[in-house]
Amino acid sequence: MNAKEIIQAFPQPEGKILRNIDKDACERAVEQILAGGKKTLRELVDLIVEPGRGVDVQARHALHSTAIRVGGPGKTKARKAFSTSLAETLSDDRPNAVKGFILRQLQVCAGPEEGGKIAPFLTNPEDHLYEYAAQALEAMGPSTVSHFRKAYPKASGAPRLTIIQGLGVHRDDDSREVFRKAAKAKDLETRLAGLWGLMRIASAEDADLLLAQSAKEKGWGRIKATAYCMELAESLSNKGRKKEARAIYEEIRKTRKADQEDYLRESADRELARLK
Amino acid sequence: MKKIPCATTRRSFLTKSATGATAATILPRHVLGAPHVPPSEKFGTALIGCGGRGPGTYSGLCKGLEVELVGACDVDLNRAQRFSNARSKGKAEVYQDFRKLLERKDLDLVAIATPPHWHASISIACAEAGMDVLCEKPMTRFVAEGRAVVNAFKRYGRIFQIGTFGRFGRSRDKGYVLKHKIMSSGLLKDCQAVRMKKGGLKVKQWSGTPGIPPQTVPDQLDWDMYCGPSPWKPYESRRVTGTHRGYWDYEGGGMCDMGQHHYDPEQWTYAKDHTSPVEITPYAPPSHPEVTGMWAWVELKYADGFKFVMESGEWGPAYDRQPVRDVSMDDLSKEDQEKIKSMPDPEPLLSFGEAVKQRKQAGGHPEAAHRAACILHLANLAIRLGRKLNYDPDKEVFLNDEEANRFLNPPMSAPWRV
Repeated sequence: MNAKEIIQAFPQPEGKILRNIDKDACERAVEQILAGGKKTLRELVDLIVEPGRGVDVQARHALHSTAIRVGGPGKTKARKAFSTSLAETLSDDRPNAVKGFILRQLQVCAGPEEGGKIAPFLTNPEDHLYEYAAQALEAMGPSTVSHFRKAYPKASGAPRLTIIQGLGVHRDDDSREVFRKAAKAKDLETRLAGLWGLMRIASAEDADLLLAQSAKEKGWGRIKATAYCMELAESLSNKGRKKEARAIYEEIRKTRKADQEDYLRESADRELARLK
Repeated sequence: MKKIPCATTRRSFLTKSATGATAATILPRHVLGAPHVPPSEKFGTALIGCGGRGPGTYSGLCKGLEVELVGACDVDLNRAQRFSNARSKGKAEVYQDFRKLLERKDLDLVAIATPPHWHASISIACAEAGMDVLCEKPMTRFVAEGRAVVNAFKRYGRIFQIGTFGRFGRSRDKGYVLKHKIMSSGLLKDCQAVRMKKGGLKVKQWSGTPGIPPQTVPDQLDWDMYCGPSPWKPYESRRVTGTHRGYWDYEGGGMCDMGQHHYDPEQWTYAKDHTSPVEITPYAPPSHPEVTGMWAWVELKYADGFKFVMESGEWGPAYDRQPVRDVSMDDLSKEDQEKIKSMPDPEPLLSFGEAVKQRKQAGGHPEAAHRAACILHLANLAIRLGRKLNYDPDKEVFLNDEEANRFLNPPMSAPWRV
């Protein structure tokens, strides 16, 4: 059976929703897709179209179901084979919207070994491909961090912010300088991403930078930058670096003098009492 | 911009009374029950997410408190303006971006009634800005968000109450209090109870519609801000205004829409506010990637053997793994029954208003609300993954299932992060 025949097991909307779904038939279809290997998978991906350019509800449902069902305990070999074949379809000539959908399925099932096929999209600003690629790589775990490091110098705008955030998600110690530079950027959200990254790697030596920047920020920037200082202190305290944590709380206590920030002084006081 | 005088005094009251420091000297008159309340002693309030449940959630926030609405925020400016007009004759300032609203210095209490994919990020930001929160249910979109909310409210000593209140009635009902005592006593070993929720989870009503072509974004809507921490998708109208419930990106179908109403009181009754199920077994067909759909039943087993079972009653076979049975005194020895009888009743649960005034935890506090939301998230994940899941309720991860763990803390779109 070809993919077009196989996916007939999946329902079309009836009264707007997928109410008449046959579990056993769908599960059998997933098995058939997997048994069909690379050829059937490529046929299936070919049935997926740009939103608004045709009906592909069954094809999307079938691909996602297969990406989900091929994962789980004890299925490493099948999952890897499927993910490799799926990742290969990213290099075909397909609409960005379809590539975005494929990236989102790889987020569900692919391991870090497919990172190299996903990474080129990190710098692609079109149709949120950078976002889908970053989220797929983040889901695969810390071993994909090298892709973010390599992409960073080539990226600008929204992809660059997403990459800085990805480095923070992975708590990448080696990106300390990237975070420091971002923490002094003109754009507020980039500054906050940099400060967040430094907080994520629990960088005690950057505590002064976080505190100074948080004191400089106004409004939303001040709220978030101060929050990152508080979280940095918490991380350091949890790591047994109580002296450094204490210094942050004392600085917060000393510098947040406005009446509207007295809850910060109290939070710092509570933590200082705990650290005694 | 509308400013309430003496906002700083109010904020001082809110925080100082939390520590018991000189409360009597700074207590506003309204707390003492004075009939006339000068505007300077009102709490500055705002609503974020002004459509659907928004006005009702805002009314819940105000109950028992003297308030003045200072801000109305919605990604759809028309909705924010309508709410400001209705509740403050248009005096409350209107915002499309909650970040600008939270910069106000006269804001004390915030009601959040956005779709759930925004609940955690906004709740956390409110705590970081020093505000107390009443947040619509379900509390979050995924598990790690809930833990981040719990940590933020603890860090800043703020009050959080989830927008469902069934546990308050249960905590005053003798029958439920007895069950609560039995379950919290630790005397019941190898619990055989199976609590069934049959129907009422609006499976078909809140199933999404797949395959709708993209549409033009209305002028008054900031679509990118609406998508926020969730993956960006092309706009189509069913993704907003109530029908958002049928999309995995924003909620989790009828399970999440109605589940917290049902499981929040159940969780209190059976003393599970500080833990989560350890085994989750589903019966469901493969899920669509974008929209929520059909399922038959889910069994959620706790470490002590206690089970919640949800049966949709709208698709597939009925649950038949075990007969339904409740806990009772008969499950205990005579000696243990006497111990239960001598146990004191649990402390009364505080409403949001009482919690704000007393600076004590509300009945629907962050940890309880998070654990109740976890019941729904774990059930939905088992439905989506189509396999039995084993969960560590302390570390809040699935055991030996790396792909399943990807759904507990899915990456967020920059610049949003928890």
